[in-house]
Amino acid sequence: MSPTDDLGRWSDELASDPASLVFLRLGEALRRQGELVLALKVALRGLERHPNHPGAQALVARIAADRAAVASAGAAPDRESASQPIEAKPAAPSMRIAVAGPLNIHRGLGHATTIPPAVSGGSVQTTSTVGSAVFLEPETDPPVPEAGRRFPTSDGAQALLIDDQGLVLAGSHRSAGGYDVGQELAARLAGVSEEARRAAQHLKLGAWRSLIIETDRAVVALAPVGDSAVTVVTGLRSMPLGMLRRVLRRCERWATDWTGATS
Amino acid sequence: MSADYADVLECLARNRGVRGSLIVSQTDGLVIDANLRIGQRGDHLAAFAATVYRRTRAAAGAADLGTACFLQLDAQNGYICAAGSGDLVIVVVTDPGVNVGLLRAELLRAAKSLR
Repeated sequence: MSPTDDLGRWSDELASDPASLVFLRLGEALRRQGELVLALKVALRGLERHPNHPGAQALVARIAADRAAVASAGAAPDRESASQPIEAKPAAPSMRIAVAGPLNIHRGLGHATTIPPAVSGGSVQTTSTVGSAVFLEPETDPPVPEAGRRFPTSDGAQALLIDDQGLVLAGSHRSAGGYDVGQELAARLAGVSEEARRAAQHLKLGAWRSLIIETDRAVVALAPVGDSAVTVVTGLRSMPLGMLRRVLRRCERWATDWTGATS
Repeated sequence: MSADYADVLECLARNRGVRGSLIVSQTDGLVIDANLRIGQRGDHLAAFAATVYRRTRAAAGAADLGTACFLQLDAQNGYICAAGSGDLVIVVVTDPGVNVGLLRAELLRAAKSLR
């Protein structure tokens, strides 16, 4: 199969499933072909959907470094466009990222897209020795705490805080392959927590406090946080249920404080 | 077959704090057999428990967490525990102070015996 066929196939795959991680392959292939503007667009769109994905962050950095190097050497066939920052739709309101060549550095003024704080923690990042190809800076609002790092998990457990729409508020969940699948997990489990609430209410059991699920591979625990959020803790099947419950309670308390601090 | 189900439910009902136990069809939420306290209605419980179990199973599978085999809903006034065996789900409703660990072991054993 030719590289062009691959590009077409990956492009079709991405069109049919915008959440697919195939943008990594597509972006990398375009970068290698020198289609840096297109590659950056693909990578930034992917980063909007998978803001904590290390591969996506690395891809954006590689492309930006390439653009910087090309613009610096003056050899780019699309030199003008290489020095133009790319705009993308905002994904989260807390941080800004600007992509520019060394001759065209904009500190977040009109050429910025936003990404969540987990990507940078608000620091300036330099990805190329040629110049500041990618830099990040906080907006005027203070960044929210980085929950993924602060959830008081232990024993290899992972924690997420999700809202009633099935969106991740904080935390992350990495698959065995290292991919952040928190968003998918949140979307799937939001319906379960709603069902648990309804069942407890209709059966006159009062408010639900937790739901523990055992599967053949994992243990999952959910607990409500306020009226509209749910803490999800996942652990390996080998994790004792008592420990899972303790971690859940710790995370629930932390999430209650955190949502109070950020509301 | 019905006698087998009755034995399984009777065994679960012997645990302290168990208010009722049912064997429910996972697909349609209908009661197959039940051991309930007098005055307790099993149809609502069966329907809700089957729905929660079914959704949990679907969500766990879709999220690549594996196949759900046991769930425990902890509420202010009691627990609902469920274990699956094929299309069947064994559901137990309990008082708040029940020994959940013991009940879980009994439920998983009961689910295995239905296979």
